[in-house]
Amino acid sequence: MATSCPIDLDVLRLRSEIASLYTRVAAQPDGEFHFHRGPAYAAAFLGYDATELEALPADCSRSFAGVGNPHLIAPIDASATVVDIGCGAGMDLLLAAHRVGGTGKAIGVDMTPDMRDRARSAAAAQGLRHVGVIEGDATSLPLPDASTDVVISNGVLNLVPEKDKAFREIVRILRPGGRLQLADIVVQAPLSEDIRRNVDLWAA
Amino acid sequence: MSALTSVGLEGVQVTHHFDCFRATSKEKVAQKFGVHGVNVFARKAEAQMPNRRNV
Repeated sequence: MATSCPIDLDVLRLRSEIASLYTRVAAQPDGEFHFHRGPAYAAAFLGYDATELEALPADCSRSFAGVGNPHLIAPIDASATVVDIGCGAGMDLLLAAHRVGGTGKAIGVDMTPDMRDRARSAAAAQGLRHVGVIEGDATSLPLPDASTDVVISNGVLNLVPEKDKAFREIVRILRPGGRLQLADIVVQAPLSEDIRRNVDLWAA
Repeated sequence: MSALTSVGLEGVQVTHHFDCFRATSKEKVAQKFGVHGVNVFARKAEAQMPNRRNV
């Protein structure tokens, strides 16, 4: 997982491209994309429990575009505070909310308004009053220091050019002994500078 | 993974691998560059106790 950003990468353009891409995913999850979406993919490729996914509002699981499964890494305890960085339409967030129960908290952070709206609607549809969905991005989490038991994230940090900054933010909000349960993509072959500078490929 | 340890996370380990680009339009590119999904676990260090002095 590369952590450095080419110095001349247009970060603002990249952010705009990513927001545009995921706004389209939120609006048209069945559209043409180069990555899988939806609960059938999550169950067949990533080991999610199909029965659990069927119990969630379809609007949140149809837009799911994760690349792994943070819930497989370790059980999330009841009463825990969980933060989902880049929660999207809320599939992982709602699964976490069910695990922590009403005495815990599940907080989703996302930079895309349409995704946040879907996550909020899905939580409301399930009566999950301990779910919060807030605007933010991985490099500037609007959360207090040492406030979080578990940070989860799925397919998001690979899109962030300033990965060191994002990881420092995760450490800041985790309480001592808190866990990061991260799902993301890795690239095993070395990439040329041209590829690393290409915003279209970063957003793809 | 060194990016995680350098910010103070411990016990970093890849726990699962996923062939998440299989049967997509990017499958061949993903294979060429070894792009795939992983699950990663890490933990923030427990707070260090202050040194106790013998009295």
